[in-house]
Amino acid sequence: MTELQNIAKKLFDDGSINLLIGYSNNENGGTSAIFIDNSADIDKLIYNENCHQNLMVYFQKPEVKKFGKLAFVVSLPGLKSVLEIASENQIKDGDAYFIAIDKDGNPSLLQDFHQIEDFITNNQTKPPMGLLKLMEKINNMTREERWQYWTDEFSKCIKCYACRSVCPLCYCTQCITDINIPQWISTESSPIGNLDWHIARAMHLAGRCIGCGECMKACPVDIPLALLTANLNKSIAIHFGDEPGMKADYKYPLSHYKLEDKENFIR
Amino acid sequence: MNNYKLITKQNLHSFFDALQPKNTIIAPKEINKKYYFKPVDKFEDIALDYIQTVLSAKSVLFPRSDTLFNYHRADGDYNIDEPSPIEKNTIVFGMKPCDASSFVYLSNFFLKDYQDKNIKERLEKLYIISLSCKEADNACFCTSVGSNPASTKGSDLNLTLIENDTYYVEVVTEKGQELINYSADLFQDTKEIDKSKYIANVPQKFDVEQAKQNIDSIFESPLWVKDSLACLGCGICAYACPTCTCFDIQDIGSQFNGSRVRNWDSCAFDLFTKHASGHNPRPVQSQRWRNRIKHKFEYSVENLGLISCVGCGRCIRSCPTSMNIVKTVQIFQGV
Ligand code: SF4
Ligand code: SF4
Ligand code: SF4
Repeated sequence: MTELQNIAKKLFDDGSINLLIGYSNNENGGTSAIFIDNSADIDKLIYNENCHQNLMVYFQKPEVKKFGKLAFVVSLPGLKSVLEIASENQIKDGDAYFIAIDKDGNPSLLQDFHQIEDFITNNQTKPPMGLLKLMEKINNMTREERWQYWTDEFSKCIKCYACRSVCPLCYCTQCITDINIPQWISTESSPIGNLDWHIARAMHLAGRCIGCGECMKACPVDIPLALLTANLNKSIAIHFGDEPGMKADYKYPLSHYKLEDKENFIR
Repeated sequence: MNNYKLITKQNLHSFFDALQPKNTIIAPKEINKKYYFKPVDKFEDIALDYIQTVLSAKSVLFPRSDTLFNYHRADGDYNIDEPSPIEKNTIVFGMKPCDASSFVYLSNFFLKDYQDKNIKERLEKLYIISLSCKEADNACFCTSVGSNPASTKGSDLNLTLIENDTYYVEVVTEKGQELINYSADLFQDTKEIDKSKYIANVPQKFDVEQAKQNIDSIFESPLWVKDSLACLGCGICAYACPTCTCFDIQDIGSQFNGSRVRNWDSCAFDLFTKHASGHNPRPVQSQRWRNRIKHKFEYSVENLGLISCVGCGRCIRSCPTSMNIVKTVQIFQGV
C-alpha cells in the first residue's frame, strides 16, 4: 500500500469519512476522479503528475454532498480553493479532510485551515512560462489590438459552459446562465452573446480566481480564459494588496469596505 | 450504385482545385495540435492524417445558432423574412466514416415527421467525401455500434488510402458521381477491392444488443448515480457529438425588430428540463446522464429506428472529467 492509500484507509477504518475523492487510472490511459465509498477500493487510489483535475469542484455537487463526510486528495490549487470557499463561508474548519500532495508528491493529512495556509506558503509554484509570456504579449498590445484579440478568441466559444462547470469557485446553485426569465445571458453563440458570457464569468471571478486553470484545460476550443481572471487578480492586488486562496479569512476586496480604501464616494 | 476508382494523392490535389471555386469546402484543419472543421480554400490546409476532430461537422447542417426568420414591425404589421440557409453547395472533405453515418441520423431526425426547411435546403446542397481511418485511438468504438472504419454509410464518395499514395475511391451516390464529373479524367477505373487490410483495427468494446436490453429496462438504479458522480453537467459531450440534436428556440431583439434563432442545447444542463413553474423533473446530474445514455441507445431507436451514437469517441476525448460512454454501456451490458 502506498502512503496515500494508508492515510485514506485509516480515514475509513476509524469511521471519519463516507466518501473519498481522489484520482485513479482510467480506461484511456489517463487519470480521472475516483469516488471511493468503502476501503475495499482503496488500491485504485493513485497520485502522479497526470492527476491535475481540481477535485474541490465536487465539494459543492449535491449528489456528492449526500454521502456525508468527505475527504479529498488535493494539491496546491485544490487547497487554495478550500481557503477561498472558506472565506466565502462555503466550508467550515473540519467540514472535510484533505490529503495534501506536496510539491515532491508526498501526501499528508491536513486537519485545519491553519495547516492548509502553512502548506500553501511552503508549496508555492510559478504559473507556467507559456501563460506568462502570452499575458505579457496581450498586456503590451494597444487597447484596440487587445479588443480584437479577445473578440477573435471569444468568437470561437460554443458556450458549452464547461469553463463554469469545472470551476471550484463557480458554485452558485443557479448560475446566471441557468436563468431564462429574463434571459440574462443569451443562449446563442454570436459575437455579442459570447461577450455577455465572458464578461459575466470574468467579473464573477475577479479577485476570487485561485488560478488552477481548470477552465482553460476544459475549454474545447482552447480559449486562454485563465488570463482574464489572472489579469483582474493582478489589478486587484495592485489596488487593494490582496490575493485570493492564501488565507481562510480573506476579505474579498470587491465585497468588503475598509476605511482606508482609496475610493471615498461611499463615505 | 457503387463503382470503384483510383486517384493519386497528386490528382486528389487537382480534384480539390477543380471543386474549390464553385463550392464551399469544409475540412479538418490543425490548430494547436487539435483538429477542427473549418472552411478551406487550399488543399495544403487540409489535415489528411488526423484521428478525430474536437467538434463534429454537424454544424454544417445544424449550426450552433441558426436564424429561422427575421421580423420587423412596420405600419402596424409584421414583416417576416426567411434568410436563405445556404448559398453555395457545400462539400465536407475528409470527414471520417463515423461522422458520415451521423448524417443519416441527422437527416432522419430533422426530416422524418416534420420537414425542417433550413436543414432540408442544406442537405440538398451538401456533399460528403469521407476518408477511411488508417489509425484510431482508444476512444474510437465505431465497430461496437454497427459501423467500421471504412463504412460508406452516409458518404457520397469514400476514399481509402492504399499503397503508394493512391486512394481507392468508392462512388456511393449520384451526388458522388456529380463530384467526380468535375474532373473525371483524374480518376482511373478499377474493380472492388477488400479495404479491410488498409484500415485501422478498432476492437469491439461491447455488444450493443445485449447492453440495450438492460439500458432499456433499468430506470431507477444506483448504477446511474455511481457511474455519473464525476459528471459536472457542462455541454461539451452534447456539443461535440455528431448526433446530439437538442435545441432551444429564442427570439433575439425587441417586439419590433429581431430574429427567431435556434441554438444548440444540452440535456446535461439544469435548465434543459426546467418547467415554467420552477419544477425540474431531472434535478440531479445522474438523471441527466441517464437521459443521455437512454436517448442514444433507447429513445432514438424507438423514435427513428437508429442508435444515435456513431462511436466517434468525441465525448470521451473532450469530457473534462473523463466520463466515458463506453464504460457506461459496458456496465449495463454486464448487469
Ligand atoms: S469552455 Fe470554452 S467554449 Fe465552453 S463556454 Fe467556456 S469559453 Fe466557451
Ligand atoms: S459527461 Fe463530461 S462533457 Fe458531458 S456533461 Fe458531464 S462533464 Fe460535461
Ligand atoms: S455519444 Fe459520444 S461517441 Fe457517440 S456519437 Fe456522440 S460524441 Fe460520438
